[in-house]
Amino acid sequence: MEEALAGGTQEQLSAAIALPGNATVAPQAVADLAKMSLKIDERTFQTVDARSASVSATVDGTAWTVFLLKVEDVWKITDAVEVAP
Amino acid sequence: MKRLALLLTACLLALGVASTETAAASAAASCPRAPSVAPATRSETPVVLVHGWTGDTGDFKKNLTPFLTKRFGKRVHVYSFDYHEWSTAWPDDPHISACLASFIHRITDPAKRPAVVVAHSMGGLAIRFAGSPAYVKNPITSKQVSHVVTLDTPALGSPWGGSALAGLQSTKADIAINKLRQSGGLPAKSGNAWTCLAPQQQGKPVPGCPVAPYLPKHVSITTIEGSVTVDRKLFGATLYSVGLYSDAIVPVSSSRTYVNSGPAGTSPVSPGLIHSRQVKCSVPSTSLYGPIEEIPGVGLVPLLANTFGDKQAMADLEAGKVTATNFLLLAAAQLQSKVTCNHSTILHNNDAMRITADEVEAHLLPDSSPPPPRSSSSLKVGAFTMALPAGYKFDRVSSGPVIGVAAGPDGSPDQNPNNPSQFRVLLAGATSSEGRYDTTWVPEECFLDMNSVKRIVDDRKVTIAGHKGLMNHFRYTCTDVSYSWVVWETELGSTRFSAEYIWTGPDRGVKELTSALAAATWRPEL
Repeated sequence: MEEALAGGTQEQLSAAIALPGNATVAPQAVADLAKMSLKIDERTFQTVDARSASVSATVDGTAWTVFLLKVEDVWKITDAVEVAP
Repeated sequence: MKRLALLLTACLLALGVASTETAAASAAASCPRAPSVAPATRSETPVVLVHGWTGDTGDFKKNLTPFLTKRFGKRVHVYSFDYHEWSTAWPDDPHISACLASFIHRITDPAKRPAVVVAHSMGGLAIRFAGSPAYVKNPITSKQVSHVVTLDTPALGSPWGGSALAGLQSTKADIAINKLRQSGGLPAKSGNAWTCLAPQQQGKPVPGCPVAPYLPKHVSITTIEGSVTVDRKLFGATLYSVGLYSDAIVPVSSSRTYVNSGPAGTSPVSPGLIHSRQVKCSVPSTSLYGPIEEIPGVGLVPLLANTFGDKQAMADLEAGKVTATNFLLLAAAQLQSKVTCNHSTILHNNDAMRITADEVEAHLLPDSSPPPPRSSSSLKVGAFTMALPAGYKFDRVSSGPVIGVAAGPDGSPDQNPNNPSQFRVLLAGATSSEGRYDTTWVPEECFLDMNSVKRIVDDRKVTIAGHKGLMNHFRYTCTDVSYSWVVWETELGSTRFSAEYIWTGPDRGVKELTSALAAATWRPEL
């Protein structure tokens, strides 16, 4: 997932982020995400229900709670909330 | 859980904007309360504010009332009609419809000054019932009301109304709603508006709920719709924008669809006097978590997050539905005060208030000045006066509403961000906030495919009132409404004038169109 997010292409991003329908990520966002260093702490993975989960992660040293959605049996990122310091 | 109850209750209550402020005015003797209300004088244009479901006059006190009073001073007299004691009833109820009609008669009849009505949410349906002899013994006509402005009025209902919430079963929402019902957190179903506000289609009304009649002949209407966009962000980067196609409570397709919202077998009597304006706002997705993240124990935050990745949720949004997949996104958008054009915040949205004031200004009656002559060398539109070229007389002087023209699709290649194959069409014109007539466009938001625009008559030469001109005739179909539009252009000296006429329904003959154009307000191309 970290590699896909940093891949720098729409195709790689769609492997990491749940994108509904014909949504296309803005080129600037593709570039911005490619520059980020995402590290997911897999030990914190928690399922909410059969389709939803959350996991802790850091992006360039900042802590986030990352929300995941199971899409065709693959967990993908839907959103993230910054953890208050 | 109390917080969760508040969340969902607030969404449901948002069809009206609940307030605890007291009534400012009421209606006639047979109505609940009848404090003395001074009628408008001949120098004042009455402006009547009508609140929505479960609202009251306090909804306007801190925003629209002072805004209009500050801008127009003694040129207007702002009234608020209060029906809060009956505001859970469908507005065919005489305590709403007849009392509103009576109230307006009382303030407009003595000086014979028609009012401009500004209505929020269900209030926009109340004024329609108030103008129907089928529901009101002494209905309002164009003598009492010249123009109606609606803010987020659910002309075709709201997905939050009626039994739509039953569709949220088997989710955490279902659990939450059950808890709300057990605790009394949901609004009491003491009135039938709750049922009647369910989504509906023309010709298929909600059972037991009369469809709001169209406004009386010659009464124009401008609908203002809030349209929320959420910028989906991830780690601070903006991925793309998600249109909610609604103000979070009322879909844009409902609030702008006056023309298709009347009883089956009837049609709006003044289709050329119907306009729409959309007020847009956007908010980052990250700001939507605030209203729900404090709710303990239910775990709604991941559910909201997953909305953004859910294809069905997005499809349901576009279809104007509240479902298990998207209800939290809509609820959060309604509850987050940073969303500046949701169903509640639209009432103090600067753009919405400015548009409303512009609409009022366009219908201000001239101050005790003599009526304009039938023939004149100048054209007066609001505060703007234009001298006609030497040797010409303008034979239809108008100080009334400006009927604008449509910007053709080629002139407005404004793409739908969610569907690049669609573009925006703008209809109608307006006076600027300074009272100067300019080229400010009033948008009728309608995303069209190019193929849906059909030119029927190309540059047909037509003489109207002795002036030779060219008439162009278009027909186009939006997702939920079809319009025909004819625009006629002529030159008076070096100045080009145009008039337009818009209607729904079957094609009309040139003779009929010529007559309609002759009666329309002509506007100069400045």
